[in-house]
Amino acid sequence: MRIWLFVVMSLLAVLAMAVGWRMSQTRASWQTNQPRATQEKLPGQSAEQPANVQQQSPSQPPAQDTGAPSGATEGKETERHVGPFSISGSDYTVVLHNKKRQPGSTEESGETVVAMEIRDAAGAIEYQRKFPYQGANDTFSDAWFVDVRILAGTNGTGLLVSYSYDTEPSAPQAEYDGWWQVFGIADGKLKPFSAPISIMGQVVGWDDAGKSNIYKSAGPLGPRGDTLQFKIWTGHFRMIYPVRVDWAEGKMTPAQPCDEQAAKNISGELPSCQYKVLPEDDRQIGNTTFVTLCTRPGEKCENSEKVVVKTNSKVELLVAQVKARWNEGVATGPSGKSAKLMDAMDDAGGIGWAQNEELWLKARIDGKEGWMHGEEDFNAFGLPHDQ
Amino acid sequence: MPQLEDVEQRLGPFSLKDENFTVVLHEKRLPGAPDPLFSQTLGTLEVLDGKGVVHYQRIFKFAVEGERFERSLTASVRLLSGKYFTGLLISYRLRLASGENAEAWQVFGYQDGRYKAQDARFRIFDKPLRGEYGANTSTEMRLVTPNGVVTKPIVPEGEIFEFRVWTGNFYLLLPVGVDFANGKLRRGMRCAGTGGAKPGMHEIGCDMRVEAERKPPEAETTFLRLLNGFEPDQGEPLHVVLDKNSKVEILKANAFVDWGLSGDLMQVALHDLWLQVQIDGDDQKRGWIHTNEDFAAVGLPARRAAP
Repeated sequence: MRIWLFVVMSLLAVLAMAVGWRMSQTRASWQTNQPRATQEKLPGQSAEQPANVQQQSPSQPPAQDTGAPSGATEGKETERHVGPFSISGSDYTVVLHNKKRQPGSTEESGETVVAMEIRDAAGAIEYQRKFPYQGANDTFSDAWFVDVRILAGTNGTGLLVSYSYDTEPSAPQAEYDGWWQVFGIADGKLKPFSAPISIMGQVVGWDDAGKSNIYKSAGPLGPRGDTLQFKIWTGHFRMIYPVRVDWAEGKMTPAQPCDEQAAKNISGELPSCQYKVLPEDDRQIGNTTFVTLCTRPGEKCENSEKVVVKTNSKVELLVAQVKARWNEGVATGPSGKSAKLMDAMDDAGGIGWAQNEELWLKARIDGKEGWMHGEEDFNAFGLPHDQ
Repeated sequence: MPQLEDVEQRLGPFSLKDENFTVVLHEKRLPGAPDPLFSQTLGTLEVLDGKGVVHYQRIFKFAVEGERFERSLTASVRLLSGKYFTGLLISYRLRLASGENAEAWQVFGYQDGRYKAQDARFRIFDKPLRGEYGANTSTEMRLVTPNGVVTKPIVPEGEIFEFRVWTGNFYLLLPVGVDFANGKLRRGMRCAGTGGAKPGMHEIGCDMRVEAERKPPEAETTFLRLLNGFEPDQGEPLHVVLDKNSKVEILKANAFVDWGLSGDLMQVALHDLWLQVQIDGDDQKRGWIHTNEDFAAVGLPARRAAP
């Protein structure tokens, strides 16, 4: 899974292949692992409630839903209207075209999105994206979900769209991957600020239950921008990758660029970029163990020290360092292929790092601080990991 | 060259087939040498029978560097006493001032005269056979003779003895086959398996018994990295913290053994040496260690061979 993430972020050109590979891996894993329980769905989603598209903020008029919530058949397409959402004085409605989900061997129910449109108040389509519909299959059940919320920033307002898919049966994961796309008004017209951005994780503070259809940005960034924080699963912990939403230019760019020039400006020794880390509640320490802490991150772990980690040690995750890269994806949209599940997202960008890039984690253990790296120490430290 | 003293040691007698053999060590001593380890070295070794006839003699070179010998060579002798074979095992240990160690062995005994005792002859068991085969002393045959039923090992005719080999941290007991039909030494075991990165069946390191004298570390806490697989270099790494109360069991070693000859001295080189240990009697803390750092953590730091 992590390999896939790295690859998909590294080179856009291989995105489609990588995604296809990931899908095959997902399915292949089912053949050797226990099938995932059918009630385990994407966070906050279920086959019965495919997307949180009907929730409305008190500040928004009630969503108009003209589609049949149930009863869709394989050949019959239903429409679900979400919104309208008021952005810069104009109203937009998101229309989801749904079909009945194939049940597969796990007997899934509910619907899958086959197309998403953003329409203006006059009903004109401003943006659309299609999703492949799975043919009859006795084994697998695939479904696409779309979730839409108002992105409320200090310097602007837009739409934040979440795309995700579920394929059953599949193994449980620490985090699920999905795509995120911001829409806003630039030059007087609604436009996507980037291609969908693929991450394994979510945006910080995303409410899976969808109690509100407003997602607040992490705060202003400059006079015309706001920060959108992505919570990225690194394979052992979650780090925050901040992205700047530029309302005036209609673009998304990394808030902490991590190229060599930026790194030079930090210390002159080309250190990798550092990112905030979220606490991990499910660390597993069965016995007293130890980890190797370095005074500084980098290839040469100078003055390393082995530090005892007891079952009752006070542990804090402080910061991560990795050469994370931002890929904004293909501006012209998807290729238009529709044969495979992931073709709908073959224009996606992402956030990730090359497979050979070392991930470092700064931690404080009973008051002692240092940097650790490598699967062995992450595991010894009791951090969760993908199966 | 400073004045050297001659020192003679006579080891034995050792009884082999009703004949008594004595090993005489002619050593050179450097009086007043400040380092006792390099104040004496073996110059000549002789194997004599009960009548004083020299059956074997080997002269070793030596040189003096300032107030010390440039190297120290010592020899010890013990009787190899097996079910079918009795011989002399001479163990040599060479120490260099640089701290390096080397060991070599010689086996003397009677080459089997099959069923004619008069054909047996005393000799050095030297070169390992090419295309070695594994000795298997557990397979025997029973021969009915006019004097009764005798038990003889079947081909390959030999017997396994364990040689103590210093690894730098502990002794491992290396099985050596003594082929008394052919007067040769050979590997006591060869091991094959399917583990590791190589595909298919291939040679792997062999498990061997260990003699280890632990010297608990002075540090209050030491850190051990175990690989918890059944075989060396396999499994997940475990991080175990040891304190002075930790119970450390040394279970076995595993290594590849390269055999070599220096003249008529048998030598071995070990590589990919692993040691299996268990901590606090806990199966979950059983695993393989490999590095000097980990050997030291269990009280087996790199050091000169204990006598």
